[in-house]
Amino acid sequence: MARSDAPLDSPAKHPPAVVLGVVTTDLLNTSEPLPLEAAQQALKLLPGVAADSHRHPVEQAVSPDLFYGVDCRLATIRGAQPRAIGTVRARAVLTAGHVLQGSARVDVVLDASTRRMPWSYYAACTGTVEAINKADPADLVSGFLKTPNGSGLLDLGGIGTQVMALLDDIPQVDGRADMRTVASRLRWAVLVREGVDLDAEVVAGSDGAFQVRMTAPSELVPRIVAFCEILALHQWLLAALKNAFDRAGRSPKPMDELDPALSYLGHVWNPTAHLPTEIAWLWEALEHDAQLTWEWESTVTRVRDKLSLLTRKAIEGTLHKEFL
Amino acid sequence: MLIFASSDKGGTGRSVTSCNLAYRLSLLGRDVAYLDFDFGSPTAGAIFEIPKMERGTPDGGLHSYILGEATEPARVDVRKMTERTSLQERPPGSGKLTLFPGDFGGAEFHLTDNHIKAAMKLFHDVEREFDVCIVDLSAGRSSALDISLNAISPRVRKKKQDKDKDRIRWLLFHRWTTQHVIAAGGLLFGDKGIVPYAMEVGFKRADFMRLVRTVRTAVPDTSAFGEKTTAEQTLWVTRSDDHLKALAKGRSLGQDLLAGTTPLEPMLLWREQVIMDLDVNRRLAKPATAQAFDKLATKVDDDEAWEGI
Amino acid sequence: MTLTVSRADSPTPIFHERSQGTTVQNLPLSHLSVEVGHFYMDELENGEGPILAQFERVKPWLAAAEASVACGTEKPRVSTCFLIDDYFQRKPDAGQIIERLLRLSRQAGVRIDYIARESSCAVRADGLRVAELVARRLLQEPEPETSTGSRPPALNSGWLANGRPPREEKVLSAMRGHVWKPADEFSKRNHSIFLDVELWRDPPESPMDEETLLNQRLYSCPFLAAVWQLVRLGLLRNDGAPALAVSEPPASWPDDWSLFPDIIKVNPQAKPFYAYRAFSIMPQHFLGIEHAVRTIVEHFLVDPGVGESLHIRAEEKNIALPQVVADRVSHHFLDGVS
Repeated sequence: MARSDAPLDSPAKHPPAVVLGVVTTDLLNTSEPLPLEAAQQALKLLPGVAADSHRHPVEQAVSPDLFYGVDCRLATIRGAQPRAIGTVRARAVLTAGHVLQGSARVDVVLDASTRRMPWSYYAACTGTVEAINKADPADLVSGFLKTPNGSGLLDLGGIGTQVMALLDDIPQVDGRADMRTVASRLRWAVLVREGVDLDAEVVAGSDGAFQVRMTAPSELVPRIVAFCEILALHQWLLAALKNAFDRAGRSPKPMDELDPALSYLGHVWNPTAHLPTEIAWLWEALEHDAQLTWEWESTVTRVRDKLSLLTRKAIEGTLHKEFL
Repeated sequence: MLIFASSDKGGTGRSVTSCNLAYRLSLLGRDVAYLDFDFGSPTAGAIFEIPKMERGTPDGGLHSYILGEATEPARVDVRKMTERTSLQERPPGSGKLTLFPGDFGGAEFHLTDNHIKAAMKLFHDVEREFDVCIVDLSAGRSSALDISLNAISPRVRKKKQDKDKDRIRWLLFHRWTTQHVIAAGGLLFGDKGIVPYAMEVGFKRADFMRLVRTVRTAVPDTSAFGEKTTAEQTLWVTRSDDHLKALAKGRSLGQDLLAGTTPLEPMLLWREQVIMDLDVNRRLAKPATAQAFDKLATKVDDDEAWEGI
Repeated sequence: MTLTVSRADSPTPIFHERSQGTTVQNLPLSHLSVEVGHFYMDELENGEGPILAQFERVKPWLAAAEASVACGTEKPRVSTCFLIDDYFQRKPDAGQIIERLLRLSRQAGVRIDYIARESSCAVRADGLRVAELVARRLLQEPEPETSTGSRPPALNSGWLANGRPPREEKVLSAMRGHVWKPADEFSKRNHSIFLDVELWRDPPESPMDEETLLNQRLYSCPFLAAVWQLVRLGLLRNDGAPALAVSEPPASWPDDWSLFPDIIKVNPQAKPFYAYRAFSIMPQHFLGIEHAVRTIVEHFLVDPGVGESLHIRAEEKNIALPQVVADRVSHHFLDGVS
């Protein structure tokens, strides 16, 4: 077994030029939140690896990473769309036993090879795609953020949805959530620059979806992922509560809208709960401009006020009947 | 709630009535999804007047979704995308109106377990977001119809049923003519009809029949003859109507199964579209048409009224 | 809403609570694990001559392997192992077979440090489904240029291919009706070598519940051999611990294979069982199986935590460790004896 010490034809570790991600958030379709132990069990999406979890201050379980093979085009604005091959990393995050997220992301490596390599090459650097055509990193970031979907383009949102769908069929999930909700999508992209300070921009689109664009060194990427998942969670919470309030305004049974919304979501808001300290300042800056927490609190107040008004009316109605 | 819209033949007004039903339900404050399962010829885009979707979407419509070619079906907020200005407004108190278009150039296909699973997932996802989901099926016994029956069979929907009643409605649209009544009866009860197939996929006959109601479309009255009608014409219309009623009753499509009747509407003869109250106010559409759609929507929406038919 | 910000100072945390799901164990590692021959069960049962002959052929290659170890700054550590083929055939004279095997290998001058059972690569002694740890981590290759992630991966259950099989395609207009499309290896260089490997076979009437299904699943020889290779490389873990663990030999050999531990350390002086690289010496008729094994290993996704722990260790000791797992495995195929 004569061997040189240097491995033959081994993929060198190339740093990513760009990191792309999509976080999809929706209510887990179950009538009661999963206790943490059940959540850990549910999110054990691979045999032999346990789910990560927190108990305080908000219960949260995180599945092991799953990988999905892709060979497709990446969106651009100016240049030709490069072909990229490799694997996408995705995980499920369950917060408060009830809010489910499918979080998919991929490191994009440029200028590593010019043809499709044997599959073992990609299997050895999971979570990475290599573009085999020339591309400008900044163009990839813009293209990704401005092209939510398109034929033949990398579909990170679809991958996140597939991870979430894995939880539909498990016995702990009864399929009877009492609340109508809309899944939301947060797209984020990082232009990787070593040795620079983190630079971030959060944009709320006309459809209400958030987008995050950052320039950051690669070491910060795991924390950026956490930040984007937290932002996506809270943007969804706010949208879901407002949707419930809106629906209550036109429903014959407004209590049926407000009650579950409050009991499912009322206690979940806590953006700094699992926020990595290194980028806690980012949330503070976001709060300063967007005041999401203020908006949440005032919406909760409106929901509570309306609920107590409805309750009072209901009681008065009963009393009135008794008098008659 | 899931509402399936089936019809014996093309040209019954199934799609246009379903679109109007969707619109009226949204006015009642319901969040409504319209699923275009007419894979061969999706038309809802045209009825809602959404540009570039007159015959389905070029990318990732329901056809692709069922075939497993897309993880998520394309969707369109009708009020945002319609070209019709008056439809763009969302009146206070009204709900969402979302179209899940079919694919441009879609076609029928062979039924497999994967297609059924995709449909189950689709219904499951859409029901979580919307109060009402209207599924517009191709005319006749089609794979769209077969997929739907499999996806709502009690074998696979147990989970939901044991809590409160599973809200499913199955509408059969037919025109009010001898041939259509016969064809509709055949589609529902014939050897290769809907009911035998529903039983094959696991329904008890009585349980399935509880879901089924008919809608008689484009039903003419004497005014179809012109402004002045003769006594002979009036008599003839009454007799024909009685004859059809007897025929329908004989084919088990009688009053007990009737959910609604829509009148012959000249406006829809020219153009299949949403009839708004505005059209009635402008004296373009007959008040009876808008009332019929409204009545159908109210009936469908109200469990007691629906059961009590 | 648009917001642009830049870094500020952040305080250090004082509260830590992360129930880290799985902590990857650091295993003792040899530089090389050598598999010293392989027999089918019936060959082990029959005459001693062929067994002795094979061990004699193995001996010089074992010596060559020991001489060529890449061990960085450390003294070379080589362990040897032998896999008993007890999955497809089980005879009730296990003790005798083991004793004969050890005696003949000693006679030929081939050291055996560890003996493992192929059955354990399917389900280990305590019931854990080891094979499923691999099955659930295999990733089908994406079709060139059309795999966006939108379409859920189509798992042709029980089979794994390195490309697209040949197929007949319907042609709508042509009179002939069908046209043949050749197979296509996705990572070919000019020409294809298409391989479709049967990983396991399920009963024809698949039961609905997974438990019953897995109990009846019959794994293929290449699949179990791939599990074996990954176990030797320390890459297959359950909750961070090796999926198959090493045990001391029992006081006396039982006659029933199922009473044997998964991996037995038969040489007290043996170097660690797990190793950075694995080398297998076996008769050349196993070439086809090992091609299939390599294909399976190429589609296996190593747990990132496990992969990293090995790389960190290797780097510390200046040991070259290929990124590609299949490149850590090599073979020598013995040519015909007579």
